Amino acid sequence: MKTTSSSTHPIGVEATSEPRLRPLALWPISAAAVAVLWTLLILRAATGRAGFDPVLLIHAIGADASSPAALLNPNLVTALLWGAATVWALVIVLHAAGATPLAVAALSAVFIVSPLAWSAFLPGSPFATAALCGLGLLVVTRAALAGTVNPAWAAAVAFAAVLLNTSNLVAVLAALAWAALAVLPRFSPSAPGAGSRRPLLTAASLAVGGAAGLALAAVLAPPRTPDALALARPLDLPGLLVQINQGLEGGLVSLTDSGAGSAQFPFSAVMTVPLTWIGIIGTVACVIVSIDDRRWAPASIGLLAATIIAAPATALLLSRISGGFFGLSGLGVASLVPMVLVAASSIARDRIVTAVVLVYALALGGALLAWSAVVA
Amino acid sequence: MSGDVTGRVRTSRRSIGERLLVGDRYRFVYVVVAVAAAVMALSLTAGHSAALSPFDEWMYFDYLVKFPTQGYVHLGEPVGDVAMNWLACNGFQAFGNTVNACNVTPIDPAIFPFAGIQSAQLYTPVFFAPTWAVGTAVQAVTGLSLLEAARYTGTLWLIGTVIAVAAVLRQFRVPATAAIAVILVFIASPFAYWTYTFVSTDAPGVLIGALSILLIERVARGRSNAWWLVGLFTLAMLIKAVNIIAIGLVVLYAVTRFIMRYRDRVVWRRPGAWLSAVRGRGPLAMLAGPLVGAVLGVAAQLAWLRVVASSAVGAQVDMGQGRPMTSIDVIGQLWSFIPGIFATGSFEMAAVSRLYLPEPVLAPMLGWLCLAGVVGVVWLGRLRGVQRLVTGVTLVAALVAGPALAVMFTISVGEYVDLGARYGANLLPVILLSVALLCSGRTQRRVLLGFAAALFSLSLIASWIVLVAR
Repeated sequence: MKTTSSSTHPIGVEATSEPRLRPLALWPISAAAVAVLWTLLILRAATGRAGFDPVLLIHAIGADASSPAALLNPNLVTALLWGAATVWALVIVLHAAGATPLAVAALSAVFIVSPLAWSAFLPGSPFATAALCGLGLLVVTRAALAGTVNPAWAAAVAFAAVLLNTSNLVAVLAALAWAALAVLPRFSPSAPGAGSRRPLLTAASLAVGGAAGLALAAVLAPPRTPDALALARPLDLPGLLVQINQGLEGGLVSLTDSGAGSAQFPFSAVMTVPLTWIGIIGTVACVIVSIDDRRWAPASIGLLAATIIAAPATALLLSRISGGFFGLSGLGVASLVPMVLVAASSIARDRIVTAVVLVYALALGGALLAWSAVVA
Repeated sequence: MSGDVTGRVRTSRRSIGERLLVGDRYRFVYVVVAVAAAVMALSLTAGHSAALSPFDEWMYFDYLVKFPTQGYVHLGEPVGDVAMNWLACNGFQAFGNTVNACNVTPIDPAIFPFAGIQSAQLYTPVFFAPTWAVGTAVQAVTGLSLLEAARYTGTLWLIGTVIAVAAVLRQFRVPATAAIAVILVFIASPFAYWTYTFVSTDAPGVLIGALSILLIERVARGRSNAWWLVGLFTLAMLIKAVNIIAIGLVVLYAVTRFIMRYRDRVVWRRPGAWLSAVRGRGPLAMLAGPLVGAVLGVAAQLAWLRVVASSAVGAQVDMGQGRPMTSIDVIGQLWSFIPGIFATGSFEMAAVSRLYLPEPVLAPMLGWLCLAGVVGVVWLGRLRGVQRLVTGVTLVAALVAGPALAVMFTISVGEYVDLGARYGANLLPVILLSVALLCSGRTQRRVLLGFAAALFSLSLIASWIVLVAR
């Protein structure tokens, strides 16, 4: 293991010049993370405590919220594969972002034991792809801005993300905000070889890809069910303002604080407050720390702007499409969660606090395993 | 040695010119925050209607009315006719008039909250005596009612508080602009609105917290006598029992600072070490002062409880909020103070006037700032020296204080009551310090100052609109 220092950055825009772990060392961490997640998911499926099915929710609130492509993963095996891919990718991206091994372990564990993973990787959940899409957008935006890939890849990933689940628009908006801010002279990339038009091209690609995905999803989406209109309510300012909190506070804790969620996640919302804190601290503190860094400020500000604006904006957009206002749940901003975790990794420098986070995640995971084993 | 959040290490030695510069800047800070506090508090207080604050102002008003004749209120004592009728005619801010029996005689206590029984007997007259004195003076000059006049004491508390908080920030080398920014945020917060523009026993809380941490740091640096802490803690506990949080914070800070500084030295075997401690100076005094102060403070509060019990005229009022404490309650209290304290009363504030920023926007933003400051600055791990120590102690205290207070309350009262975040008022100075230290870079300071100025200006303009419309 090498312990070289690295530049601190919020979204992993530029990997450390020298990795802290050998690539092979990532495999045991990733494999262990996936194994824990799979154990949790299998035990969770074995409990037979379906309670509340996100697919049914999507149908209930209007099929526009999810595209038909999302229904391609209707079984447990598919959910397990999405989960494994997401966790594997998260570990790699956290490592590439310069997180310490302890931080990689802690933040991966936080993701695995979160109510988000508990709900999103249910068999047939259209949200199983959300976190992976968020990671994909993060990586491709970073690479496009750095000039290592063609910006057209950003369009392709944005297109696929929105097609898989329309609520992934929030992550597209975050990436778009990042690229758009990088257009400003103050934040223009300073990396050697970076062209001045690259941020503009990346932003345009993301916008085009997202818009195309949205258009196709709208065409392919099944007609709205009567249940959808029954759950709709008039668009009002308080309802929209509540959405502001959702991006920062709702992602990792998903549905624990709602009526449906308390039936879903076995523990009280009080137990998952630290997850909300990690999301807030990662995003807000990351902006504060990196605000005068011309390279990383666009990423962190873009993420904060997206977490605040994207949820109400997406809810507004989906309301326009479906004809009624439906507030996004925590699952609706799931695609932002990996970005938030990577941002948090730039803050996670104190070993004691990071270790406390890891211990908390392990304790919550242990409690989940015990609960699942007993119920199953 | 100390360091800022960007990791730059500063030496404790400064040139004379630098010292003057820092001093000059902070003189400017003191003036700015004091003027800002005065303008904001006076504008808000003048704009208030006769409706009572929902945070127990009704009980405090009754205490003030009775203070000249009986000194303090007794356990089980009915609220007097003056306060009863005031509530019946004017109701509560944000909740309206729930009684609706203005000038009805005889007054039926059953239709009033808590069946019209006093619940402020736990407070000694230490807070109410100066409040009554200043209120009476203001009343004589302005012709206002006693309650409306007494509300102006909050302006004095706020001015004193912001100056003390600025002194704390100066002590820990926070840049002047960051100090102004966090204090402006504090002045414009919902917490300040409810605490310093109505009669509230929370008013001395932040001041006590600031003086406590300021004094212990000065004692640790050999600039103040440790026995001042004994007086401060005793006074604090006589004002409000919840000020024990300030004592706990200082004891925790003193013990960890002592261990970190003297872990390799057997200081108690030094010649004259104990004598110096008795004189309130030296390493041992840093421990002795807070510990003796804690003991005397708790003893003073226990003595007052004996007075309350011996002078009772009836049974303790049943507020209908108590229940057996569960482990979930204790865990929930862990997360109570850090994000919630700034935004205490934001829901009620939004209900008072639509001019104020609505609760869904204001409260979370202030909570996010608290979290990023208190937890983020420690997690980032770039501070050194006393800055690192004070932020670490702040994080631990903010987490532990809630459950500790809940357990103590449950043991003393016999049932659990969900404690509001405002009970953590003692921690606000160090919370503001953590936020300021996180934002100590040049650009961060400017952004924070911009946010604070916007928040302050909006609140001030809203208060003026309310004042003009009144």
